[in-house]
Amino acid sequence: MAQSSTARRLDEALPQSVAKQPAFGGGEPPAPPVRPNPTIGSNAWVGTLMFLGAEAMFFAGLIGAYIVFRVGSAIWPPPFQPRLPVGVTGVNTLILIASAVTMRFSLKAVRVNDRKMLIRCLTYTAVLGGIFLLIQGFEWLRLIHFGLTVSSSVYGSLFYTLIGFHGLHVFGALIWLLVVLVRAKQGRFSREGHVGLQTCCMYWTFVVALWPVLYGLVYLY
Amino acid sequence: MTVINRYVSFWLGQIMKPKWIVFLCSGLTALIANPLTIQACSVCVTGAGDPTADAFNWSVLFLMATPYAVVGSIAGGLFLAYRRAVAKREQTETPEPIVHLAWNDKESGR
Repeated sequence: MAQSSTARRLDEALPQSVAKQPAFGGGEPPAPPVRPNPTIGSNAWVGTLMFLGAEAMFFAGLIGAYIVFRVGSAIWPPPFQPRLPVGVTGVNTLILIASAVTMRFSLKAVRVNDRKMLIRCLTYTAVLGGIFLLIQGFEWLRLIHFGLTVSSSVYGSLFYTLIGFHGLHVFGALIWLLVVLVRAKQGRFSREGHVGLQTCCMYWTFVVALWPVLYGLVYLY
Repeated sequence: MTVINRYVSFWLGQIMKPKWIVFLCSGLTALIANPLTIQACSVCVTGAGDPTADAFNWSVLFLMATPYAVVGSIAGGLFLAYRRAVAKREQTETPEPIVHLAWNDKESGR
């Protein structure tokens, strides 16, 4: 019997005695339970991540252009052009970094449902961001007064393009932050739902992390 | 011998003649010697150690590395978020669903 069963052709049907039946019930055994992949974040989170990647590439293009002119020039800054305010901008850098810290604290506050702390941290962040922009604007006015304009030289056009676009991004982030602050005061954010705050925090962290790179490249190098 | 083989062997026979070899070598030498032919490369005109060439080289290297850094950062962020979500699910969920207990392959005779 064993020999005949081993010699059986593969396309032959199984004999009835071989086919096993389940001990109870019938049909196929139940499918294993579906275990979906865990959710790693909201669609807004992933979208913001992609957006920040595009923003990073945009600034990489500007930095690449700056490197071409900076490394290619024997004398930098060019003669008869004012020097950039390194000290004041250094302090401004610390202010911007402090705003990123308060922004992170706001995210921690919403995760423990501490609404008062959330509003306080968001307010601090907005104030620090506003101070950064005011100091930048004041320094720009001084530089224009000393003769550094967009059309004065390649130095001026690169400076205003690179630093100006960053300032524009900080301004946009500040408007976004004010909207988030108003929504936080309305009680729209909770421990379970705070996507708007999270994406704003990501964007703010990006513009803050970008600034030391630009400061080192444009002001110190 | 097919038609193509005949065609190829004919032209190989023509090219391998000494006068054609001299003509080809002369043409290649003229192309290399003429500086106009290398002006398509933006950094080849200047010599080694030239600031303009260095500037282009550094800029190209930077722009070449940036996409890798950006995509790597995004992928790393997604990977860390996934790891965190898996660890969180392992802590919160029961290890074995009850539906598994409803069917035992060994006892069912399969």
